[in-house]
Amino acid sequence: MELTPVLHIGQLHFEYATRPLFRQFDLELGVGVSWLRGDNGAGKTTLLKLAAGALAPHAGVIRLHAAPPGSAGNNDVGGKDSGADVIDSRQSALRYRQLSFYCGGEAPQLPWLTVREFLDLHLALYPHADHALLDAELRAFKLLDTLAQPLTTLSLGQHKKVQLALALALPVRLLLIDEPFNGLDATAMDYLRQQLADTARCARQCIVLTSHLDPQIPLARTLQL
Amino acid sequence: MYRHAHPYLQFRTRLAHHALLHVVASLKSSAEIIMFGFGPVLLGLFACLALPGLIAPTLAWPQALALIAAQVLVAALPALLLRKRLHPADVLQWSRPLPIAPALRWQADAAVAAMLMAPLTIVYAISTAIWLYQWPDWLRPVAAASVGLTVLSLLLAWGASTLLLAQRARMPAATRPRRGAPPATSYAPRALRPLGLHLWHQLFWLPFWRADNAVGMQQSLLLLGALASVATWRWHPAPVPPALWGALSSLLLMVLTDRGDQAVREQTALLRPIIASWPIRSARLFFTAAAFGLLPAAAVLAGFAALMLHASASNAAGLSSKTAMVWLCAAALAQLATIAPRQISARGRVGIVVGAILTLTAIGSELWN
Repeated sequence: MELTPVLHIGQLHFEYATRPLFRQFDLELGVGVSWLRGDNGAGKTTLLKLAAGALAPHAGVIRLHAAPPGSAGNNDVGGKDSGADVIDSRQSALRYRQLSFYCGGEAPQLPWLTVREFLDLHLALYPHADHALLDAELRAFKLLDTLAQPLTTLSLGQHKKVQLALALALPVRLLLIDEPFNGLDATAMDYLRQQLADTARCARQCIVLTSHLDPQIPLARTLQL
Repeated sequence: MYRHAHPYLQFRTRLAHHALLHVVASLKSSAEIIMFGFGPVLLGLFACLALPGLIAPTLAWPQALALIAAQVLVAALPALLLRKRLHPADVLQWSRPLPIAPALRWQADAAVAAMLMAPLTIVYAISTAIWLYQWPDWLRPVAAASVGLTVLSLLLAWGASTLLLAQRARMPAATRPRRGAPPATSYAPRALRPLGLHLWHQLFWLPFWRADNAVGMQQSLLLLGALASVATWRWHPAPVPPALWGALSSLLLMVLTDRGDQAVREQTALLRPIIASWPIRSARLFFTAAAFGLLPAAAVLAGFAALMLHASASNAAGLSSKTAMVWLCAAALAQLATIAPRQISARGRVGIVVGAILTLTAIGSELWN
């Protein structure tokens, strides 16, 4: 099947002080779920953060194709950042971030906020987010009771659910999920698999997830780092 | 001996040592500022530290008791202020379920309290030695009782510090949660408009007031202190010379801005990697946060201007309106000079703040003739 690229990473170079992680790294991913595999320390989380714009590459380009699949601009990805639908993570950083979301981390990043404040803040950052959808996701993950609680009082699984509920409700083109199944109960895992396998979602979003477990969902691609 | 102590005791003293080093490092710039500007005054205060305990036996019972109680409270203040650092919440959570005997916990708290009291005891000893060397008339008949009371006040302060630490570590009683609002049955977001202001509130205001963060309280106390100092400077009650209130106002104003800006810088460093992937212009947010850090100082300067206008309108004797205007302008410039350089070294920053305090103190000394 011909790949319809959404995320284009070209000639990526990134290194930590102790070791180089990516050299001349190329990657193109289309819509649907891509499973990123690798040993601990292989660079899975770093790659997600680079693709999210949370880390700046030392060299190379990261571009996102904003147009829905099938539209005219789709064949542009590998070329110059001249078309309106191809967004370079450096040159159009703000627009790039509006279309991508990184969902990861086991500990609350803003531990002084309540769940409601955390959600309000993120919805304000993504003005086209579907509020009703977020309400539905919170209901499905059984999180409505926790809205007034500080993030620090949530369990690992509840914290993961808050992040996932938000991630699933945001109108982003690129969704990067780090270890989505960590800490989830069986019901939540089933629900998450159902959401990630949703054909309508897979037709419009490029979802990249890292997991040491087989996600057990239809995959567009499996990548080994 | 230290090596043969119980591992829990070793752990607690090492934790306290680490926490105290951290406090010293965080206060280094402010302490340098105060020492540079007011070193001689502080030395004088240190020399007088043991005076309340020494003079107490010459007073009537109620006064002596109140004086000793106040001295104990002041000496126990470090334990009160640092208890959250000496017993960090995560360490408490980890250690509570461990099988540590209550006596061992008390020993550890007493040892940590002793670490806090040690430098204070040295200063007390020096201060007492100075008074005994000077041998004033009032001390001669009560010297033994005075020294005994001073030692007693130190021992009581040690006990109070131990109690404060033990209280902090105590397992909270299982209380039934308050019946608040019923749990939400649906989620509807609040509109955060204007977004910039709400971002500042959630990322630079709330963290300073929640959990164990004391920055909000610290800045509020500094602000109140600066406002009170400016108000006292306006009325400059005898016998304290007005220039001293001017110096105190200058010091508190600059420390207020310096500590506030330091907290904003630390929070910015914490947030930078977190919001790197958010669809916002982070540089604008960080600039707003730094600018808002000037608001407390602006409130103090506004208070000063209003008080001086009032003094001028009521023809207060000896007021130099021109000096008031110069002090106000110089103080405003000093605030900008403190927060504007974002890449300056800690030493350079101390230089700016100390220079500003000395300049403002010099100008302020001419306010009331």
